[in-house]
Amino acid sequence: MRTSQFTGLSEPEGDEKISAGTLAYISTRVQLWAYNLVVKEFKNSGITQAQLARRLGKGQDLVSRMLSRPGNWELKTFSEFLFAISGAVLKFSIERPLANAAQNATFYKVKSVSTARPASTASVETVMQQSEFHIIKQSTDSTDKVAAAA
Amino acid sequence: MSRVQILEGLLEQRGLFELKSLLTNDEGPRRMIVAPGVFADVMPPFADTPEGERLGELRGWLDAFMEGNELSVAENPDRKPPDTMLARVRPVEAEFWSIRVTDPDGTPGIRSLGAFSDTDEFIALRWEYRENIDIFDEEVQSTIEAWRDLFRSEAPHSGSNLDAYLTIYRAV
Repeated sequence: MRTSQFTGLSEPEGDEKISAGTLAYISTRVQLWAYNLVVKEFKNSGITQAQLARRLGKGQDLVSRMLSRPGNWELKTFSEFLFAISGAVLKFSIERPLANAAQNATFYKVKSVSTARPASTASVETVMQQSEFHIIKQSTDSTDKVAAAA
Repeated sequence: MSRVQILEGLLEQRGLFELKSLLTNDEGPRRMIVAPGVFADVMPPFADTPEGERLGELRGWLDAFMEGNELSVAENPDRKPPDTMLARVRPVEAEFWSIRVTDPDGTPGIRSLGAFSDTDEFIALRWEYRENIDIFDEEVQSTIEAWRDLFRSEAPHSGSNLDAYLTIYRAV
């Protein structure tokens, strides 16, 4: 038996290094939001992958592969895909979801954890700041927000 | 007792844990419930190590599930694209699934096995680095046993097609 206590994430402070795990969590979230944004836009557009490939001047294999998983897309690729799909342009804004972390934090105490491996034992303070993507359609001026953690 | 009643009891007694987004602490359109062993490893702080990085990514995927992100889903365990995000595992009739974290590049990723307790409601019972799973069927069997320890004779949620499991998905 072992007892561990966990808390939520918190904003960075001072010079303390942000752990690789926290950075990975944040970048994964943003990658998945961005990917979801493109996939949703593609679905809503009603165009085919072949059509999108022609618009981009790329092979359909490549387009199909890109749309199949949330990889580490370059910003250039995101921009090109979104514009080619619907004329949408990527815009950025940021928010700080952990600013009120102290009020939002959920505290857990786990007892009798039966697992094949020990729980993560990181002692580094965790950190983060969430980016939020918006896209604006040039033609309609309607705004579609990524389904952020909100 | 029904599966729903058992689940609620387990959540109350901390035999299982329901995750909430680390960013907002909100409940999303889907529920992700995890066993204590999974919970212990996907809660921050995440370590400043390659392992911590991979666990941070796993948690990112679990949070994306809760937030209703579109998932690529394979119903056929033997025929799925390598980047499928959620795949049914053999034996199909047992109704168990694998969450497939295929990042970061250069690693085989992580698999987290479990079953649906309802539409858009998944219970992750185990996780493992893919390279540590020598015999996948044994990992599945351990997951099935973990389910039985918790739910006894109550089977996982099942349905005739993917709509019975998820509301936002892309069949692959």
